[in-house]
Amino acid sequence: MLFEQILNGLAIGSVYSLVAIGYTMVFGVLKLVNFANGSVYLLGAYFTLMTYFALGRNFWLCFILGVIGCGIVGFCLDQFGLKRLRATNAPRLAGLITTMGMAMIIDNFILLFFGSETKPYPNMINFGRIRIGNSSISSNQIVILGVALALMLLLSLLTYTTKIGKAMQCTAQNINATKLMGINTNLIISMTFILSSALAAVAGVLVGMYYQTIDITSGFSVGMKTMASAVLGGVGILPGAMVGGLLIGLFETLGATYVSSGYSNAIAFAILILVILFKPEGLFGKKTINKV
Amino acid sequence: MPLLKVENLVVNYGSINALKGISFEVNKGEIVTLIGSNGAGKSTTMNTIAGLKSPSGGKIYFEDNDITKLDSSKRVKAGIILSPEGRQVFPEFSVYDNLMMGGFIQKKKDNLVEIEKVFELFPVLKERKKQMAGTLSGGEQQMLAVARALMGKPKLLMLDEPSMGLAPLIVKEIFGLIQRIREIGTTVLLVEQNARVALKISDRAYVIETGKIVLSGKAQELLESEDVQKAYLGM
Repeated sequence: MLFEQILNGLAIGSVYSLVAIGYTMVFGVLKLVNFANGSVYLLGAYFTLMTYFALGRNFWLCFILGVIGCGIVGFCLDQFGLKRLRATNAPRLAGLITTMGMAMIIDNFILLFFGSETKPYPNMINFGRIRIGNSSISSNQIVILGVALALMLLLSLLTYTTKIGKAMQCTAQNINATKLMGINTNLIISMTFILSSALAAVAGVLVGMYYQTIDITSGFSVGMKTMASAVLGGVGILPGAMVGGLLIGLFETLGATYVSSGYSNAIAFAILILVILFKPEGLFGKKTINKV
Repeated sequence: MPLLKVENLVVNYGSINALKGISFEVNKGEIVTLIGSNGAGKSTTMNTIAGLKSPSGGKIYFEDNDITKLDSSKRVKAGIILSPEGRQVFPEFSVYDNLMMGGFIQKKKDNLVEIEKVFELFPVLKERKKQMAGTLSGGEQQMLAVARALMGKPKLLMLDEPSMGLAPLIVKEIFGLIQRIREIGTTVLLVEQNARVALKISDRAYVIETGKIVLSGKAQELLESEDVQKAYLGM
């Protein structure tokens, strides 16, 4: 029982990690919380479902289309919403409110096209249960955990070993100095938005398949929980977001099992409050010392 | 044909005129200094030439090409590289990685050759190759900033206040290095508040006051000029 719940928590947590990475990446390069990230997560799920109904039976093709579609949405979000603000040196608050506006646009777009009722979601990853010892685990969790961890590994490789990843890290450290290296920082920022939105879309589809339903309100709740995950790990720090997501998922699931399922959101936010109180820089964050 | 030609450059921050139409030139192989007090517009000039700030009037020519509207990343490729005010090294990267970022626009193979040349000029950086840049001393960070700019093989190296906050002995070392860099064949545009040290190694200089060039000439002449001595050399 405990083993199953832990695996359950890790599976849902790994999906949270994918969304949390989006918050952390964008915050890293722009020092801005992208409130639209939770909405893009939801859009990914709905967009995939829409193409699935429209184009017919090949779910995985629709999945890929959904992810690409959300990547494009992320690109547009920056291109038409935030790029101008950067060019005119607008205050950061303007960017923050812009992402909130974008979130509303996306949410209402979903409401308009798909309606507010809960929709059934196809589950393509249910291959039955696997027995290990006296506990049995569902293939759902294994696939979700596998996909999410593989994506995180790929992203880490991209960030820490490639030239473009180094440029992303530099942009996060000092955007002006990065420009002086001959790097087109607008391109790097666009890439960050595309990647974070695509990851959020993957997460949306995985969760949709897992619960086999989606509804319009889950974007906000997952958005908040994943933001909590990013803060828990230390916002702006990639491994922090990964571990933060896994921990929130784990606590939430264990809390729901051993305390009450009604408390799952409350537990996530209680952890967030405790972190902000006692370790505001997050689990992986370093206390910054500014040399004067 | 001058390497860099700035014509009637006007830059505004909102309603504040930072530069009110300045013109100057840098010829190939020269060290040219812009001197002036705090807020005169020196750094604004450098940032505008590097493409970090867009001017509201005037033109910038590099090797006879109009680069006024060019993106900062393309200017780096053209050969204009700025080592910015306050060093701005990447604190969470090692010295080695910082230098490699300086050569971002080049192939890794070329960078490996270039980094050896840079280590020859700055042996202290070779010793501290693996150290995080944020943990270096001020003087070492300044050297790293200059070295990082050199990694991009600049035709015009722009140095903004390389002596800021450094002990006199280290300032002397850095200015010695700037002379060496010129001898190797890089043209240098320098901005300094420490006018005496800067003028000693420069060929020519321009004096900027509240966004305008008020004086220009051979560095030696300016060193001896009474106005400059009173205003900038504290005599």
